[in-house]
Amino acid sequence: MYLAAATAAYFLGGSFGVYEAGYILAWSLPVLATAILLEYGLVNFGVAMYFAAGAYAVALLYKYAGMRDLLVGLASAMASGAALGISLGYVLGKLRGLYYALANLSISMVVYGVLVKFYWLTGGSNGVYVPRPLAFGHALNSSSLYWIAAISAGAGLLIMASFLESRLGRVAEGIRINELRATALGANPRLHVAAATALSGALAALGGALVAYLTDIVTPDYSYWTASGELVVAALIGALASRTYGFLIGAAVYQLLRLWSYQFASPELVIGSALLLIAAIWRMRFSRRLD
Amino acid sequence: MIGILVPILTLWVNLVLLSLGLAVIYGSSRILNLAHGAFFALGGYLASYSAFKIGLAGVALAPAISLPAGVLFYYYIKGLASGELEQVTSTYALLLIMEGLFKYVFGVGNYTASDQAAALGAMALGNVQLPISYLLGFATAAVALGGFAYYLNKTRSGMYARAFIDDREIAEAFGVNAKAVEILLVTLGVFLAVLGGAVASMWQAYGLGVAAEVLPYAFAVIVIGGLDSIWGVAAAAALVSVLRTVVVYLYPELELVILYLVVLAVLALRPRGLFARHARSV
Repeated sequence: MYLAAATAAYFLGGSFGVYEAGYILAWSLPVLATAILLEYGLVNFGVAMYFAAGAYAVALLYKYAGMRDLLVGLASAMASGAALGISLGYVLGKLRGLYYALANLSISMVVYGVLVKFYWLTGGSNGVYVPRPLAFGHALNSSSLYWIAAISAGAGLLIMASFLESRLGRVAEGIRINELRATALGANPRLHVAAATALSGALAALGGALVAYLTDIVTPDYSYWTASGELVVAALIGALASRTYGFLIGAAVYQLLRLWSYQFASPELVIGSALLLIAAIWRMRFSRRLD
Repeated sequence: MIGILVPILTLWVNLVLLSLGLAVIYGSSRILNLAHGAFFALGGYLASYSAFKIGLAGVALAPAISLPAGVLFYYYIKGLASGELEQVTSTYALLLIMEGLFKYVFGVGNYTASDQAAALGAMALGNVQLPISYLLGFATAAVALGGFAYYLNKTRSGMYARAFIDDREIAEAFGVNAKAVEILLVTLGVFLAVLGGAVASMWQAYGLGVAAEVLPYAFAVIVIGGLDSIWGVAAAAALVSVLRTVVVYLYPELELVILYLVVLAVLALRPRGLFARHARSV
């Protein structure tokens, strides 16, 4: 069903439609990262930093090493995301609730601060230009990037489905429902959270790299806390709809909403009101809570 | 040397009222208010606008909006933000809505009351000029803090409020009118933020993005200070102001980074905050 939707979007959209669909699919990966952590009951307000890590990995590889190869770029993005993820996941693995959210927000703002202030290294608030990547010597255009994003998001879907059924996913649910009981049953929450954060970091960084290739520029705003806020909102909308497909639905809803709102004088007002409407409708129809 | 105290002073005034409001709202309703920065900006916009219309006295009028705004906010969060995850969507949506309203009503320019404030003049401290408006802001913040402390510790209503924040269920069992106390405290939290914004309009400019910009600072202050006491928040705000100003003077590249490094250190070593009164699960 996913393949059908992805193919339909490719043929039905014009060139802008393909670009936008590619952006949604690429952006759905950090939403997936947030959703995986939500399975643990952890609301992570800093996923944007993994997204930015992936984007900057690709950008700085080009800037300092002239490297444009697609596979090298994606691999190094995922590696940086995973490395950052496992270290932060372990360090912050004991925190829960409000403190977890704020700690991740703080670190993502540290990353933002470094990206902005150390401008001789990172290009500062001007950002870094990223050319289209090369695969087997040919520069990729938006259409090819769309398929790469579609394949990545499809892989993300498979990962989410298998995660939920796997031991990791069951322990996640256990930690969310009753952490003491999960620990008593033999799970080490900190290690599980670290592993999940590594996975999330890699996925979000992959999304960051794809968005960097698609939009040709990376800026420190990729790591700002409101970027994480958007990811959390999209993940929550998606989670209310479906556990496996949620990240795709949430990403699509949020980005299409954002696009639609630009025609108005005050886009933020429109997005905010629409989010409110969604929250109110879901609350009326379902009294289901996620915690 | 005295010159560095001036920016520390203004930053402290900005932070203490904003963060105290956030702490009060969190303590009473357990809502992490992502829209709190928007109330600060609301105060600033309104104060700047009324100062423009009727002179500097207009700044004092702006916090009046916080009373209806606070009550409306209370009903908003009661209706839409009871689960921990629902809070995020609803308060984030409120932040976006308020930013959108600001853009719609006030436009995209910069609003400030600093021109009117400059008319008050400055006094000389050594070889540094200290604007009178800064002193006025500091005095307002000190009076607000003192008044709030007096309310909490010396009045009966404040006693109910403290009991409510400490343990809601037991307070209700003892006959405290939970709903009234909660409405009061939430409105107070909104009032503090709006007051902070109004006072800060005398030296700060308000434009797009101010609401999102100040929020992480408020979070940082309440994490460092702990959610337990007013003086903890005031001291944490002082610590943050001093730290940030000194870093800007000495090593500007670390300006954005140093604050969050301190937050992380506090979370690692004393997660309840540096000034927590007793171990209580938040």
